[in-house]
Amino acid sequence: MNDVPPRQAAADDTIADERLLRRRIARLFRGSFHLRHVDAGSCNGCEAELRAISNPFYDLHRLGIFVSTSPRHADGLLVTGPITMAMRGPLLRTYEAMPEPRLVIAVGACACTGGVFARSPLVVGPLERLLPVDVFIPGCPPSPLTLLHGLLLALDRVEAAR
Amino acid sequence: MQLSWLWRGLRTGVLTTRYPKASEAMPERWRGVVRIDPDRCRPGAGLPPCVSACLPAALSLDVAAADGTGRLSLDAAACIACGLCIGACPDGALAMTASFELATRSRTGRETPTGGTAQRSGGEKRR
Repeated sequence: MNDVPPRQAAADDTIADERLLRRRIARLFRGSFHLRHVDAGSCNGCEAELRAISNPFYDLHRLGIFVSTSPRHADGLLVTGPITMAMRGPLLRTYEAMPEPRLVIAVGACACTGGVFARSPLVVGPLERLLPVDVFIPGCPPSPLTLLHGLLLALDRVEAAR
Repeated sequence: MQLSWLWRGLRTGVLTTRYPKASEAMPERWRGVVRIDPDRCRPGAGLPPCVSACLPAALSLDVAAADGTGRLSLDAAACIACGLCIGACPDGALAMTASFELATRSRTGRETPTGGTAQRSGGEKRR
């Protein structure tokens, strides 16, 4: 198949200081960060929590983070699910359609590691194997606050977990 | 009174969370991620009950010592926080953390289980 994007050089070349680059990305996005969400075989647990972060209590929009309906308008790609064979192509095409710079965020234990589906023959994931992942948000599903922490971590506004 | 809804709203105030400016208290039974107490963890010979209870194989035993005792390690990104290992541990060495700030930038540096996941997190696989 020829839909595999050229793998992004995440660590080895061009970028000496990752933190500096992230600051620059945060400045590039100017506090307004648009996300495109791709469900790559998720059980909808993560989707329920992703819905919750735009409710009035968690209120994603107060942080300048929005959900876009087109990858062309998106700065970040949210991926849920263990990446099934069927969703591999659409996921990679979505990534290709996004303008640079772009961030990839793995949401949930499935996207991070394959989770309970890791040993399934129908699963091509985890996401790390297909795309350069910037932030891992663990949990099954991650709580809305964990999601907020992960999104702010992608924008370099909070510290990572230890 | 017609404006009773207004007074009610003003009395209630703003309920939106102030995170990340202010921390948010999690519920009492909130399950963050499993933490291993290395002093109390005494995995004997054979498969520990916590490892066999772990659904996504996030817990694993690295057997290094000559006497067959090993060290327990956890892949935090794979943990689904089901809590089955905590009940299974005979030494009471496992507990849930109260933290919800669990996102990380990389999985490198994290302990990875032996077998499946360690190989899977390797290079890119093309089909």
